Amino acid sequence: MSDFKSEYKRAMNEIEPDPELLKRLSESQGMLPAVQKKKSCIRLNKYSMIKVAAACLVLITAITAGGIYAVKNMMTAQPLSPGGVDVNMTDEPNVDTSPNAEDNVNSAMSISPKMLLNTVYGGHIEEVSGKRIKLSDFSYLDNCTVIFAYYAETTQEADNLFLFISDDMKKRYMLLEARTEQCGGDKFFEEIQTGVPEFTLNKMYTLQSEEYSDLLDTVISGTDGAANVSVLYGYAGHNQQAGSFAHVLWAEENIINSFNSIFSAYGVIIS
Amino acid sequence: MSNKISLCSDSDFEKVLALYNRMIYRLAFARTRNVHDAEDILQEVFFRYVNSHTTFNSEEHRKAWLLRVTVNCSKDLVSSYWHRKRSENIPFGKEPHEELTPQERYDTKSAVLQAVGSIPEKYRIVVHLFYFEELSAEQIAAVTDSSVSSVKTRLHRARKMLKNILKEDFYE
Repeated sequence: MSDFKSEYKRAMNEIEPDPELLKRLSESQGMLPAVQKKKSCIRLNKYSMIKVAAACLVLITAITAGGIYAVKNMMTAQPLSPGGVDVNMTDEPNVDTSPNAEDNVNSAMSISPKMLLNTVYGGHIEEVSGKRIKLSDFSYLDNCTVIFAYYAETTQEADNLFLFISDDMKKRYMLLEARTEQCGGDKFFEEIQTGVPEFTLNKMYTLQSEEYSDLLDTVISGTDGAANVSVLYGYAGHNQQAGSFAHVLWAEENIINSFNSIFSAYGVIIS
Repeated sequence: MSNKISLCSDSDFEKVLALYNRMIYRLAFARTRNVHDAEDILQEVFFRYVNSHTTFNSEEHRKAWLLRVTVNCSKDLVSSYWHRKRSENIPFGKEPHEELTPQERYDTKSAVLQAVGSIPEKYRIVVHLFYFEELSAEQIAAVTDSSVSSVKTRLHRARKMLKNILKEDFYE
């Protein structure tokens, strides 16, 4: 019988890091100076570059959304929001208590049951196998309107995550960002344990909460069928700096449920 | 003549990565008991390493620096609100016939590992550094930013707990 030290060493020696991770670490090393430079640049111009870029994005998005809304309105001559969707800019989601509430709910947009847990890495989405993540092609989402819903614990984490979402993704997918900067990380997590948190959902970095129902309305009115909408969930976690190597996103069931509750409250049904 | 070592080039990074990845990973695992967290910490440590531009006086200095950063990163992770509140098992469609994950394999691997894993975190790291890295109490104190007497006390208590858990299987 071996002593504790030998046995412990033997057992520990069998524990090896994932070779794929080491390979990626090794390969990513050359990218670090560029990443660092980019971060520094952002940090130095925090109140100029980010705000200007964000304002441009919002402006472009608003113009695009407005155009789609107007064209669609002209073509259909019907209210764009489906029955269950409340487009009023209220903090509290409306609960439909009318006699035909069930019909309204049924006519509301139904988001496909694809519950993908993903991470963003240089423009790729990695598909989760269990809890760990593998790189995979996401071209299968080409024909989908995708809501990429993620949340971050701090502003810095959200900023860093945004940097690592590729331009391609930003163009192709709708991004919902739930930030916690207004209520603080701890409060956010406490709330998310108990129900729908009062966080700010942002689209393309800057969308404010009052714009949220507008965004969902745009998403809903811009799609024809449930199968064309997918929701990707993620969490910009504690190790935001690891984004240089692989930005790990996490999602837990209660987080996903919270997102789903929000979607449901606005008339979007996650089936 | 100065013998200061500063590894900055790509090839040097790879050497350091190859040399210390297991040490960092195992220390992180000893603290977190979770392969995913250990991998995150591994990434974080090397990210900090590359960005620190620290000049090391010796290889021992580099090793001590990496150990210290690993301990700090582990502490940050373990004490984060997110980590404390998260559920350990994410139920994402795992079928009963599927293979064990690396985490599950580690969880069932060794009675000694399980015993060490069952004692409080602050003791686990001391046990690991003492028995696996074979650091002295003074060196452990430097790495964990605590006093030598505190390290010795923790070691003593950890041994006592391990004896209680492992019974006759524990002897030094």
